[in-house]
Parts: sequence; C-alpha cells; structure tokens
Amino acid sequence: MNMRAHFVTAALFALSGTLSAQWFDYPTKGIPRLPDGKANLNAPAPKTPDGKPDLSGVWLGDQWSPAGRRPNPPGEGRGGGGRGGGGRGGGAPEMLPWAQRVFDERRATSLRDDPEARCMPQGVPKASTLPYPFEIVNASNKTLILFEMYSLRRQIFTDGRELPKDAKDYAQPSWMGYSIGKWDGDEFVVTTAGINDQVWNIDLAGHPHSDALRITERYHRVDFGHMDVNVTIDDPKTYASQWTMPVMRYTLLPDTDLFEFVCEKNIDPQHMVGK
Amino acid sequence: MKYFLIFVVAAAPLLAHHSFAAEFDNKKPVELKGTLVELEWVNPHAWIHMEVTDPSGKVTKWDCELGSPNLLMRNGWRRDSLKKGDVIIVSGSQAKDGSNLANARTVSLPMASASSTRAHRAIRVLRARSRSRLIPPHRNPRTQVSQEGLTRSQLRVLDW
Repeated sequence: MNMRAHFVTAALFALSGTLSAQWFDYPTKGIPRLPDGKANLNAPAPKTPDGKPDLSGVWLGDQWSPAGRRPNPPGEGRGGGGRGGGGRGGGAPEMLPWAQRVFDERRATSLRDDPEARCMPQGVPKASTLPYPFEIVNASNKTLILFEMYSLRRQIFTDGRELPKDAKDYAQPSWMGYSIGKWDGDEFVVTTAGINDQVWNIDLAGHPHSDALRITERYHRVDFGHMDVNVTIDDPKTYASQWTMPVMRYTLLPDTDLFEFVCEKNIDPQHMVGK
Repeated sequence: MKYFLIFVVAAAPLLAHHSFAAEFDNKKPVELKGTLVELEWVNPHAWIHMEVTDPSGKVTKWDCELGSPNLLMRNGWRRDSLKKGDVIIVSGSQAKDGSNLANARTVSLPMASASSTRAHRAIRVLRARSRSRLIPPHRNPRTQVSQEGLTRSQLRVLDW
C-alpha cells in the first residue's frame, strides 16, 4: 500500500474537515500566534481592562497535555496536580487516625467506592486534576470555572462578600462548596468552604475531608500558555496540620472548546471488585 | 491487509473516571480479533461490542471499554471511526471478575477496510499531533512500524 497516497489525501481532508470540527478545533480568536500560526504559549500573560491578570481560557493539567508536565522548581514536592494529588512524594499530609484508616482502606480497594465511578460529581480541588479541560470565564462580580467532565461549574464571587466562618452557617453544603476570590498582587486567591459530606475524596489519591474543610487556591498565570495553582488544605478535623499540595500546573489549550459531558450510561460499578 | 491503523489507548493503564485497578487486571492481557457489532458512543465511556470466533467456530461476545467520546474525539476518533462488521483487533486488560469485559489499550483495523474518510481523518490528526510536515510513518518519531507491518499511531484513546 502506498503510504504517500494516504498522507497526500490526508492533507486534502484537512481542508474539508474543518466544517465538521468546529467545536473542538476551531481557532481561538485574538490570541498571540507564532509565524507558523500556532498559539504562542510563551507570550506574556494577558490582562483584563482593570489591569489584573486575565485567567480566562481553556486549561488542562500539564500531565495530561501532549507537551507533558513542567518540572516543579527545586524544593517543591513531586507529583501532585494529577493522580498523586498531593498524596505522594513530598506533599503527603499527616492525617488524624480516623482519616488514615479511611485513606488506607481506600488505597487497599483501589478507590473502588469513589462515587465518581457512579457518575457523581467530584469536589474541590479534585475536579481540577482530571484529564479533561476546564475553562475559566470572567464575569461581572464573579469568576466562573466550567469543567468539561460531568459538565460541572464553580462560581467564585469577587463582589466582596465573605465566607461564613463556621460549618453550621452553610445552609446548603454543596459538592463544589462556596468560593470567594480576591487579588493578591498577580495571584488570584480563592477560598472555598461549605463542601458537603458526599464529596468522597478531595484529590485523586483518595484523601478524605470533614465539614471543617477550607481550601485556599492561589492562581498564577505565569505567561500566556501556563498557569500554576497552589492549593492549601486546612481541615483540623481530618489533618494534623494545614498542608499544601504539590503545585498544580496547567497548560492552555488553544483552538478548542469544551464539550458537553453527561455521565449517561455507566456499566462499570457492577464489575468493580476492588482487589 | 498489510497496514493496520492502530488507535493507541494509552502507554500505561490510567485511572479512569473509575479506578482502573478496581475493575481491570493488567496481569490479564487479552488480544481479541473479531467483528465489530457496535461502537457505542456514550459517556462516560465509549464501548466496543464485538464477537470473537475461536478456532472451533464458537462465537463469544466481548465488551471493550474505551475513553469518553470527548477524549476520543480530541485524539482523532469520530463516532463513525469503526463500523459494524469491521474486523478489528483489540488489545487490553480483562476485568478482574473474569467476565468477557476488557479495557482497550489499542484498537486496530486494516487500513484497506477502513473507509478512506475514517483513515484519512485519523492520519490528519496524527499529522497535526506530530507537529511536523507530512513525513512517512517510519520516519515520524511519533509513529512506529512494527515487524508485522502495523502502523502505530499516537492516536491515544485515553481511558477516562
């Protein structure tokens, strides 16, 4: 078989294939590009009209992107951001005895009982560590994070409101919790609480939480194509002390948009034996 | 039938939207050659339903799990990448519970029988991903041609 013929025809198809592909490879408008037309991921980070860094865009964890994961700076924990989620390498937290028992049982059964396998939502920050992109959208008085996986979304209020201090003050604890965002220099600092007890694991490693969980995320858009997020977990009912996950690193996905993802038909759980 | 178009699932088992290890056994590799009954294009996983005929003529049904349609599409697949009646080879890992269920690592089909549109679309994505000009597969660092004449593309079918 003549492979050259295949490749030549492939080029012709590339011209005709655009129309049917306008949601996953439609060129993003208004982004910096290199002479060859590719997005310039190393261009400076954009700013919003009020001079703050503009975090908007479609982002994917480095470890899932074709270019691979950027290494952590010296001294920072390994792994994290993705499957390790802080549970491996330098970022392992010290758990209270009940949490350690739960965690060990989960690891021993290969996370079989994770409700995500039954199409239930992820929590924070786990939803940001998956191999599906999420999109940050600037809105008036809030920032939205739209997650492709399971079509979830977070609202981060930037209108000056404060989070209730105590767990009992959250009338309706939720999967994604309640979030407020403030700027600290070039970092967007998001604090989240009010996460419900149906959130099973806060990361892919399987770490548990209590109603005292408070998460602080610091978003830093390093340049046009790269963003780092530092996550600190504060949950005195679960962990012996506050701990920080290894930095989560994201690469911008240009020229694509989110798809709908409804977890509609799931036949796995009946086969999940765990061990 | 000399060339096969191979859709690579992943270099190593990945955690899925469910845990890989909770359901599948990477010590139970399977290679299934059979006929496609249906490519079921649903979330959270697309499925290959196929029939495998053993040397004695006995037909066995198998269900093979792929990634989600979203991931498959970003990696070059379309809902019509496989058609009923296609002869395919699926390699992957069998379910721990012993049922005729597998997590697909690669899916290959004869280039000659793949409709030209499907094959070319896949190659187009491969080419885009290789970030290079049109070059023959054996010279493409992201493509290997094995001794069996199989063209291993980098069209990953991530298992999530």
